[in-house]
Amino acid sequence: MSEPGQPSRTSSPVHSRASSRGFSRLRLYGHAVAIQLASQLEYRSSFWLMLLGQVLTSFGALLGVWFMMERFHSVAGFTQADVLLCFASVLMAFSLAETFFRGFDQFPALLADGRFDRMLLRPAPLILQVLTGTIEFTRFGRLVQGFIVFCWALPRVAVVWTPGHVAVLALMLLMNTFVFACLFVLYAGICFFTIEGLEFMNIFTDGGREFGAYPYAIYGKRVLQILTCLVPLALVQYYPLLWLTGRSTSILHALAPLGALFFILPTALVWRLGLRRYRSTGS
Amino acid sequence: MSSPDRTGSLAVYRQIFRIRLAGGLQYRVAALAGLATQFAWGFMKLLMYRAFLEANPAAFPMTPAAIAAYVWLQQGLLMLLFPWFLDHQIFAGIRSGQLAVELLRPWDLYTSWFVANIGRRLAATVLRALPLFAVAVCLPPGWRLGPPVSAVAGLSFAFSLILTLLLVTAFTMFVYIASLRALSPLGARTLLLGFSDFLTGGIIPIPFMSPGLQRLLGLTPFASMQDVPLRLWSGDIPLAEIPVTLARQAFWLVVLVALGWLWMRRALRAIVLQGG
Repeated sequence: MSEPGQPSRTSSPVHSRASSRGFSRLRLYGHAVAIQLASQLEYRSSFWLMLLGQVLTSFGALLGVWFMMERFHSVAGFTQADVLLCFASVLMAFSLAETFFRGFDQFPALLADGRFDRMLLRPAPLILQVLTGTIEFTRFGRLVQGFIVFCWALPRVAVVWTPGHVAVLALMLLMNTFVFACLFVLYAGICFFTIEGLEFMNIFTDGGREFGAYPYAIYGKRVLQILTCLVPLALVQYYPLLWLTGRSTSILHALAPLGALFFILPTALVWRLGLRRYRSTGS
Repeated sequence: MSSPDRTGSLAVYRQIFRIRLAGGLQYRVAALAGLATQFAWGFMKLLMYRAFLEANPAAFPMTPAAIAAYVWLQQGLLMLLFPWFLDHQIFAGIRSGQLAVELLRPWDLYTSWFVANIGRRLAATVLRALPLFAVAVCLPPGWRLGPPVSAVAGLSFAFSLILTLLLVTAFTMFVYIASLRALSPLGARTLLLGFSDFLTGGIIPIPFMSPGLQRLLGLTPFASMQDVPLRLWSGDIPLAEIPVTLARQAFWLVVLVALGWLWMRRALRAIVLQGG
């Protein structure tokens, strides 16, 4: 596993590929998704219980936000509906990322039991293999819950909805999922160096879900700066929310989620450096 | 002739030392990372409460010092206070049939599981709590974990922390017993633990909930868990209410242990051992 040629061979084909190959990979991915879904539905009662469990646990978080807003009515100028819209969009993005990028979230286990070493030997793109290894459909429980809250909050936010608003909302959701997905990959990339999971990343993944329930500005200027420049969680949450709720008319705020695209750079860098340096765990 | 040999073995020792050191440091990094995570988590929570305090000071049901103590004590004592810290060996034992061996042992299964859980919780807490508290007491006023508000508060905190540990463990015993009956422990775990985070004050302290819900929770064992010690420390539970509060904790402890013990006896009478 330590031959220098191997990791670089497996990491390179992600780029520079013909579009037909890209298309066939997409089909491969779709196929894997279908297989995973079918296999998870085999244990049907267990599947529904897990799904229910996901709903119940994040329902506690929802109740927390709900009772805080019932008591205080507004925080940092945001109303209950604004906050719940924020809560719902972050929860939906997180559960989408968690469903489809679960393989990266469980990366220490992949490294520890040698599954990753087997992946390195297969003639298929590494990222695709990690992605398709685990897809957790039970995490959809949270998605459904987020969607219900979303539907509750949308008509209550003081906004006249235009196609532009819908587009920004969709962009916010999509890019928020993207940032969470990048965080999972980043976490996996760091695992190459530490082998064990680095717990500190939780503050951005689980913490991003927990604390992202409120617009990040309520945590003060310093936190907002960190979440704007370092880990762009605020770019996909606070700034577009300002524009959506009519607190800002700047197009920069509306398009801020696009800025989060740059987060792919450090993510890819850490992943590649880690992969180049990886020499099995020996088990 | 012996000199290359000696330098050779020296090199080996040096290598062993380096490997051990690196190994130890790996874990130290992990421990530090865990500590830093809980710190950042606690800070974010406090920043959140600060924002609500500024939004509407009249509606804030605790003092800033009390909420700071609540958050830091909770972060440090996570493994002691939360029902989700379960012993997965017990579930594995039920699945694999190892339970049969447990049943042959000349002691009570309920008591042995109970004691094992307490041991696990204490061990996990000591590693985390002490370094966290050591730093939390040094923070600026309003953010720090101050000393207990009085000697009585401190003593009753310690006493009620023990009661809470026993009570939470007694509650989780229901999860274990329920999974004696069904092969998949997931259902029991889901239903029993799903709401307990919120109901015990793990997400927001109970005083932040609506008055109606607070009254309702007062009738359940949930309000006698982490809420009590975390608020006793800062004097958020007034002196006059301390005896009643502690008595209520003790009452629920007796009830849950009695119910759990009886339920386990019934469950074991009809047990079907798994595995083979």
